[in-house]
Amino acid sequence: MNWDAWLPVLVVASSLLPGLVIFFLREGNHRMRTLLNLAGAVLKLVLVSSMIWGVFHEHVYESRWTLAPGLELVLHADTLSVLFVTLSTVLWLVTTIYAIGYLENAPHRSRFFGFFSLCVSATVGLALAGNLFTFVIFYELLTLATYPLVAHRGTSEAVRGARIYLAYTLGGGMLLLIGTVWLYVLAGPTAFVEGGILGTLPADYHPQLKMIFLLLIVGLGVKAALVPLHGWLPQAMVAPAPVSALLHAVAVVKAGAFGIVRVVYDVYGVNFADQLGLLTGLGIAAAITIVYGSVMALFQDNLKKRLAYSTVSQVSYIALGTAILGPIGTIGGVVHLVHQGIMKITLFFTAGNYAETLGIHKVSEMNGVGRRMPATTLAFSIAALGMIGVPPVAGFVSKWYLGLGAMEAGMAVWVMPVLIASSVLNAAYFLPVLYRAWFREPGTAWPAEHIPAARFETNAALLWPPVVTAMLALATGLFAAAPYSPLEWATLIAHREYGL
Amino acid sequence: MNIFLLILAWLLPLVLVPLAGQRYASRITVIAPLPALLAASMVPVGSSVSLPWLLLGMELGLDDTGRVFLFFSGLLWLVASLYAAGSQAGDSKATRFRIFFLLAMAGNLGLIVAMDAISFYLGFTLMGLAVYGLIAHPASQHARQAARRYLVWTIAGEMLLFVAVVMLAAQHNGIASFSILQSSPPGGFVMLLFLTGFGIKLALPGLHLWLPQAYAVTPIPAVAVLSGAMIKAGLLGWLRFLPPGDAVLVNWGQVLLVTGITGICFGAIAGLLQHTPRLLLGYSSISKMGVLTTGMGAALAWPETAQVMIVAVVMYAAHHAMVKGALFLGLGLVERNGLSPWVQAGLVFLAFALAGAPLTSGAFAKSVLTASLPQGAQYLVLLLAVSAFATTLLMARFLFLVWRQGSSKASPLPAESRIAWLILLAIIAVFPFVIAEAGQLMANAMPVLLGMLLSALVLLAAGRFPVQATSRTHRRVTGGLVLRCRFLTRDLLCRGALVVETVRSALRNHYARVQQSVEQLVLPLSRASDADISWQLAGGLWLLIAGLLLTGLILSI
Amino acid sequence: MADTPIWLVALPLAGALAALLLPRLATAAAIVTGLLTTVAAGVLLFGVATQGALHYEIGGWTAGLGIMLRADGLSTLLLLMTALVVLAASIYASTYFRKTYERARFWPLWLLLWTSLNALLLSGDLFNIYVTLELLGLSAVALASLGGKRAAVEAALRYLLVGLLGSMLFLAGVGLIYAGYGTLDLTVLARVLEPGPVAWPALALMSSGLLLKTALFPLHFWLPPAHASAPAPVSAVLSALVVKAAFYLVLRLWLDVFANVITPASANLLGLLGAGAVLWGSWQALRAERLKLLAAYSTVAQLGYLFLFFPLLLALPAGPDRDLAAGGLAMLALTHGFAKAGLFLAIGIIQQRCGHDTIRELDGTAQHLPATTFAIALAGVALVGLPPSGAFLGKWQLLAGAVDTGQWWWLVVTVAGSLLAAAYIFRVLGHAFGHRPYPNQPVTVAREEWPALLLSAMAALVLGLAGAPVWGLLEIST
Repeated sequence: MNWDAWLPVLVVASSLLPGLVIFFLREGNHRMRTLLNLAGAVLKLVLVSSMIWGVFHEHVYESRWTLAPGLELVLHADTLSVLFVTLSTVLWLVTTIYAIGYLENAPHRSRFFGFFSLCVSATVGLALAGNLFTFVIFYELLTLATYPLVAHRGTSEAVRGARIYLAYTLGGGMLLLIGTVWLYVLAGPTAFVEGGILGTLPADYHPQLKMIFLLLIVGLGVKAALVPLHGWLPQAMVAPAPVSALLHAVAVVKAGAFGIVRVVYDVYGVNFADQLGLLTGLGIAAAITIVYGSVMALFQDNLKKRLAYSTVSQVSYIALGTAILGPIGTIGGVVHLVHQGIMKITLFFTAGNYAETLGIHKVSEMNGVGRRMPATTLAFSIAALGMIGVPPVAGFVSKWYLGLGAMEAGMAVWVMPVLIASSVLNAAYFLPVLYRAWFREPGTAWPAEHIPAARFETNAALLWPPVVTAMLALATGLFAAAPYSPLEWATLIAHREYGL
Repeated sequence: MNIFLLILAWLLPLVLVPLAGQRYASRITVIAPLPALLAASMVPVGSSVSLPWLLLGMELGLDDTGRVFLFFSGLLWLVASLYAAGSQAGDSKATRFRIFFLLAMAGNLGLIVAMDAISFYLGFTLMGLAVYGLIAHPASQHARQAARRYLVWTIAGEMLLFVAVVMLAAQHNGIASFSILQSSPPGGFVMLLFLTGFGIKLALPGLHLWLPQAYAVTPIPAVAVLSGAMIKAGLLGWLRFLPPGDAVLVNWGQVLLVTGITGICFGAIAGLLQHTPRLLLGYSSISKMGVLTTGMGAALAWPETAQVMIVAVVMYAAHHAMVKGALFLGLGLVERNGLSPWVQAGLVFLAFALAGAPLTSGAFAKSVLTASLPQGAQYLVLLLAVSAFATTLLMARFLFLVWRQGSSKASPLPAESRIAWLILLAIIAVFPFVIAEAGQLMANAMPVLLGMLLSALVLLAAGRFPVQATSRTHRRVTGGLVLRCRFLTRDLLCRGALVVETVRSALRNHYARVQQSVEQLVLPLSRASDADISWQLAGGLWLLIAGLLLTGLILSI
Repeated sequence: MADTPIWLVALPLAGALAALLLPRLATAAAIVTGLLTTVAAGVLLFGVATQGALHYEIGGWTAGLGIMLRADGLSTLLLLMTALVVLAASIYASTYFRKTYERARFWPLWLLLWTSLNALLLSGDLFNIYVTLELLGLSAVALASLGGKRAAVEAALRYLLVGLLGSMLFLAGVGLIYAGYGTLDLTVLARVLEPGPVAWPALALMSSGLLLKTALFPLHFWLPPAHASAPAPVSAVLSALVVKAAFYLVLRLWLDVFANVITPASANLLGLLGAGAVLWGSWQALRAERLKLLAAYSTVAQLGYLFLFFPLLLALPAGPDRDLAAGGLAMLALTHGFAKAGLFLAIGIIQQRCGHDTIRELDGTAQHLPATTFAIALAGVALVGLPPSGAFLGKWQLLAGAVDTGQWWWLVVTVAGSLLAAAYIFRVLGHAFGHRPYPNQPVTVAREEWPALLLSAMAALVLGLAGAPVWGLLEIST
């Protein structure tokens, strides 16, 4: 095996191995743990950077490992996987720093960081999966690695949330498994190929293929939180803030959305899926989810719950973009994969900061918090505006391409109202928060002030990650047309998918 | 250099935002609009810059319209910054004010130099949202309500515009540059979206509900730029997206004409009923925006004379911007410094200017407008005269209200603010003489005179028969509909939530019942323990299985 | 190389004798025997993999007169699994039994059990199989009763009776065959057996006896109490290996020896009973209040999966698809062996450290015994059949077979069983993660915790990620 074959493995291993070692570290060995975490994250970033360059120049990175006759574990880097890998890698680095600050004095840090690394490894493996079988394996691994993180606090509420999470995701995983097996029996090993591979099957398979599509999408839709499969998401927000951040931005929810993109583009092929009439159903499910999530978010006073419902709504933009036939809609959906991640991770970081620093868990407790924690609140504001789709934050770019794509595909009649309704609802549940934070007078005391304001408004390790990701959200929107931006990369993906 | 000025025009205010908390921030803010002014005067018309890596590919440039807009907007922002340096000096939250002030400035100046739809939309949104911070700045219940109402309308406008821009861009293969977009007129639905979207900013009658209250609470320097510069962004939007001169849009021109005339009349009448100078100025703005809308309608309805008409409309916008801004700044001086004779004189001059009395910028603007009216629209001359007459009445009432309101002299303004006002006054007074031809300054004498006469009569009559003013009138006019809408929305949402909750609890009950019956069904099963299985049962089971096995083996040959 | 099979029987037998005669050195003898036997199993596997199936005639006597040992792919794999599981359990048992008299009773029986297991897996004719089966049953009953409590003895007695009954039925079948065909050699029988009045009742008798021994639903009633009341290392071996030995015989009979005789209807009956086992066993495991009972019922369910393969294997035409499914079956059996052994050892640790194994009171185990909890989690992954365990690959083949042959109802059963398995495993883990202030120092006694962890990891990671050779080995048969 040469370097090209090793690289995907190394990308996965760079978080897996530190994670395994961390399990066996003593609780007090803070320095070693931090070193391992950061070294793994930085190493992964370096590896991924070289991968970006290579994939851009049509280099093939592929590792294969036979698990059973006909069942191969394939790690393969194409444009789409590189997009997701890069997102996970960058946000993992930031989240690790945040988590180190967040869990400074909490118990069971070795366990936490061990599973944290496993979680990221599973996500990266899922991103690099070269066929549906490999995807399923990492999809289930992700479920398993996330369970201890959700249950981490060990309170009855946390254990309950984790149980609900597991019930949903394992159920979804089973449907995905059945769909995948069925597909393998029909079509053999389903490698992910740009443009899809099923279009060549004889026409009498088509009814079965429709059933399989339903199974796959429902299986993936559980993680992607498509209504009515979203029930676990608001429950899972009992997890510690860095976990919620990763869960909502990169790992679990995004894995489902990424899977939908994979299935539609690289298994079925978007034109074939459209020919089977599958895209409309997907689009309608996404549209319902978008509106429903936003409406539910309106009624939440708990900040993290509001953000969770917001995720329900926002992630379906990706599915919506997938359902819009044509390269521009594809760009919109795919680029939102990145944009939503950056913005949502910022929101969860800041929510964690409020909770850790001042004990604020509810929107109604946020009066005047902007003056006490200006940098955090600024980061929150940028991300929230981005979610609404205000230029020049990243969310606008996604919305623009989705709208344009819908026009191009002739679906504007229902896509546009959905986009507008979602933006309006987003404004309706985010702007009052901003108003409270910036314009209301603070009450006499914060609910529980843990970290006094010294040089910064809170610990540096808690402060910088959201600031950095907020800047990233701004930059990805502001420099959307620059080379190597997510948008440019999404355009590259769309071009390769449609063979342009 | 030219290129840098175009970039700096919107970049400098943004760069200064992080400094808004510094000690000398108020002075620094003053330099923020300077590049825009410099650009307006130094950059040659037709220059353009392309920044393909920024946003979705940004294009900046300056054309004739943009130059005029950049000039008066930059000037107003400069004056307002200088004024704010004095007026906000004692404000404990001055930093917050400056941040939103600079953001709004960046948005406003940016949209003027933007030469593609997305950059324009960016500037428009930035400005629209930042103004919220300016309106909400005073920590009062009124300010909160006004700001929220403003925000609702603004967001509605943004959404309409977003759809319109996307649909327009989709007509042109996703390219958003104005040079491409203007090549063919938008379709009917897109047109409607643009008219209403920008119409909200321009406070067309029916879409104006955010305006009066916002004017009533916003701090003076902010309301000066809001009423002067920012409200005109709606007009610029029309000019950018709806290129007049296309025969397809004639019918839309008629629609705009009707809307504009309605606006003129409604603004004037409602303004006369007001009891505070700020509200009155607000309705006066609505009326004047009616004039601009009428002009725009005329430009669309008579494509052959469109180019001339546009120049006139832009000139009128410039005139109104400066005068209205100056009126508000003067009002601020009265509120804080009292009715000194100089201020009174200045306000009277501004009132004449707005009404369009001879030798003022108003006369110039109105005569340009009248001159460029096409042949078929001579009835509009009469309308403009009526407007001038009404404005005169409005201004008379404004002066009366100012005089009656008096001042508290609680916190007198420092010199900067007065200087700022004086600069603006001087420019308003001088600029018509610089650019106008002699005949243009003598227009409009008749209506103004009539108006003054009538005002004097009313004043006399009012002195004779004092009437107790009721301050509730205004609320009833503006508040009712919005309040009802808001209650309706909230009501609907709550009802929706209630329905969802009912369905949910019904489902939950149902689920519980199903669970119960399943449990009852399963209970005997679940109670059974394998440890209790007797040998007889076990033997029976074994016999059964062995028998079945044998049968299975034998039968299926 | 060719005489490795005899070592696999001789070594543990010698160990058993040594342990019996020198009680003080029993533990050491057992460990040494275990290591050697494991090496022998490894060597055998290597030999089979390189040279194909092995035959070994004891003392040079040919078949018909002497005893012949034979090792093909399947039996070798099971032998190696047996060796690894018993070795790990032995290491654990060396700390589990603390009193000398306990050890003195335990080790000889333990090694005897191993001897009979190996002999059974290596036997090539029906009579030897009967003998080893009987030996296996008796030593297993003796070990199960070592707990010494009333419940344990009662359960062991029941176990004994069932075991004897099963053996008798098997013997009756063997007698019929011998009367009918005059030979008991499996290879010969596979060629000559014809459907008819001899083969039908013989198969029915032998199978029903074996089903009783392998505890297929609804004949599983003896298993949960017996496995749940035995000492932990014994439970591990009973659940992982002993029931599987009986299953191995069913497999041999149905797929090799009686391949001409079996019919779709009979295979479907087995599948149906398997489905019942999957659902009922999982359901009971979910309801169990004690960990060991949970594990025991989980064994019932897992054995059910193995029987689901029968209708599929019969319906698939001979060829690559059938080989894949057969490999899946082997993989599932192997994974279950390792996982269940690991689970029982881990439960044993919990039982000893916490003084109980009531699931409801397990809160905080994850803090208290992290490595053990992790072992339970890994074993759980394998039991549920999640990737990257070997069971995932096995279930994949099960599902693929079901889809391929259009028998979608097995699909439903498999999925339902997996979800129920997830429910009972994560019920335990949920409690383990629950919060209870424990002194925050992980108790890790290497000899106690490593065997469980390694066995579970074997099931959940090694078999899944490096299990491809299993399919290659299975194609080697007599």
